[in-house]
Amino acid sequence: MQDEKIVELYLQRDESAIKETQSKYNAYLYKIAYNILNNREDSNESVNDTYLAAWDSIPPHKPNILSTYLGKITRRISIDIFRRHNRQKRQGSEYAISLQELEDCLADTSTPESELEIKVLGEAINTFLRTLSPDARNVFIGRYYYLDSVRDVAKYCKMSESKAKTLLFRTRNSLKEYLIKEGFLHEQ
Amino acid sequence: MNSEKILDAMEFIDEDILESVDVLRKHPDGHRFLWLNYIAVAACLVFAVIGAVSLFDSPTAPETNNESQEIIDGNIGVEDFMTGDMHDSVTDGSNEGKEEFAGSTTDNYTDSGTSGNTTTNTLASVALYVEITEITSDGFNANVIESNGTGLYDNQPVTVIYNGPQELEISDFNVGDKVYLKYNFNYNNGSIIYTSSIAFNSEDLK
Repeated sequence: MQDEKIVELYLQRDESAIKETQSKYNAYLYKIAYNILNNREDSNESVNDTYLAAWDSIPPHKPNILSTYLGKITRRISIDIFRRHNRQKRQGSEYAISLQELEDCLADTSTPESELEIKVLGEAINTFLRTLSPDARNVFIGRYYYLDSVRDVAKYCKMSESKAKTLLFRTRNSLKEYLIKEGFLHEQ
Repeated sequence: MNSEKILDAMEFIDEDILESVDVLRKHPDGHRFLWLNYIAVAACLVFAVIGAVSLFDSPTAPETNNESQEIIDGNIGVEDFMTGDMHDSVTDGSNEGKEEFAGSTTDNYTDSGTSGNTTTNTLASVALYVEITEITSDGFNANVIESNGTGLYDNQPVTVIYNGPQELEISDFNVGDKVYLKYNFNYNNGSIIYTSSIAFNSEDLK
């Protein structure tokens, strides 16, 4: 089924929208989740949560590109699961507990600011990415947005692994310079 | 700012940018253009058949280039190329009368150089660490930082000519970059170096 029709099903509150989404995008979303979580059970949980989140968010949202819209949800949910698990792993140590307490205390006062800061940073990264060559941009997105391995990125960008590594190295350095210039980072 | 913030911020990347990568991820082997491969293979087969037919149809075999025939017969050794004309490759008909460069691979490059005093060495699989001073049309000029027992000395200027796979472009490098390179072959007492592998990290050298 075409994406427009699936979105139409969501907008009409037709539950078959989830089934259609699952049959078309399950493998795509699972790959995004697995790249972050490296665990089958957690990845399935993340993908299932994505369907629910999509159901809850369309409407009011009406995504232009359904795949990237769903991919963003899966990525965010998977990162949240990853961080939650990491926090749980650290719970045994008193150092980790004290660190967590301090993080929670800071988070209470700075969350809206941080969210705004991250959004502004995201817009800056967006602008930066548009200055890159298509190859450099695709490799960077593949590695740091989709979190694919360098080998996979090199394969689907049709270049050698060493060239992909070189492009990533250069792009990271350029990003650092750009963020310093834009005032997001301080020069060391 | 930490790396987590950057990863979080990437959520705000525009969808058209993500979609262009999505397309690549969905077709990692380029299936969309598979038909082009079939056409290329078919064209090669047609040329091969036409070539074979015309060869067998001709009353006498075409005359072979004398020099090529001598190579095939084993009358010219590799050492002849070191003082003579430039050749891209040598086809061995037999092993007699030929020598391999010490430590060389099948990708040997020979050149008579620009002066009569040319010295030719082959030092395969030796990593050299250099700083790029100038980008040239086919490589770059650089100063040696670490010679790693190659016989070169520190700060010696060298001309590096890249002759490796096309996927690595010299435009990927800039003046001031410090890179490792695999030291395939050199002449003019080491001042000109051919390399097929350049990388920012020595472990990435092929």
